[in-house]
Amino acid sequence: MYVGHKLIDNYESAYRLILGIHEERFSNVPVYVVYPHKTELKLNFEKVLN
Amino acid sequence: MKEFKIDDEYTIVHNCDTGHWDYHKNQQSLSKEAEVLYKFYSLNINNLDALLNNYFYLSNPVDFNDPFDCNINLIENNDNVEIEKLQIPQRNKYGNIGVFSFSETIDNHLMWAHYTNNYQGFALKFEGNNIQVLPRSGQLKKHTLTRVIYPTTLKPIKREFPFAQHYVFTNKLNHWSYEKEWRIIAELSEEKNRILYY
Repeated sequence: MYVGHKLIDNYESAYRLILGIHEERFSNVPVYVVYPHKTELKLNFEKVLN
Repeated sequence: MKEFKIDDEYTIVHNCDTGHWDYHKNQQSLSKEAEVLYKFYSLNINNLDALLNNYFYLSNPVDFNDPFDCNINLIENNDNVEIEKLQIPQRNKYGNIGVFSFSETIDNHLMWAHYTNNYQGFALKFEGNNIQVLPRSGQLKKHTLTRVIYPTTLKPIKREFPFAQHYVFTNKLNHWSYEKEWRIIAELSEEKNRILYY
């Protein structure tokens, strides 16, 4: 599962809800947050769960 | 007919072994299997419900962001096809067809921008060869998971061609090639029955 970084910034409650669904339905699946790389012109995928 | 040349790159070729029509690009058969597919979702209550309850929503092509996607004008001499009397003709409105789109790519900026409302949504990863859908009894007349191709120009074909229906639902303008799309195409028994569990 991949979550866009602005979802976390702008809709914190939705992020909590998605993590709740993840825990209930797909708890063995990794969760990544997707955001622009700090120094390079590419996307960064940061694993935040599993 | 054994094959049909779509443009300089793409040809659709009859596979004598399977009886299916396969796409070829530059004389190479395109794989009919996708190892990994991704689905992008914007943040809204429908998509959260789909996530919570494990289903794909089979869209009517008329709701796509591309009015030329699944457009009946890809078939020649379609004048007898009934369209609604609207100011803007909806030439891709099908009551009996549902489509669910995936992408081969997860790291394309445009996909995140367009389909998650600028990084405010989420995406799911699926094993492309192992997507098990669970239609309710009688829900679908038939369904398939297939790739989309992006010819340089969209070429109308004769309705008598044996691959005509598949062609209409899998050819998109080259502008969209970054999407690297695969799609479930389903023929629905009932127009409103568009939730497909997996």
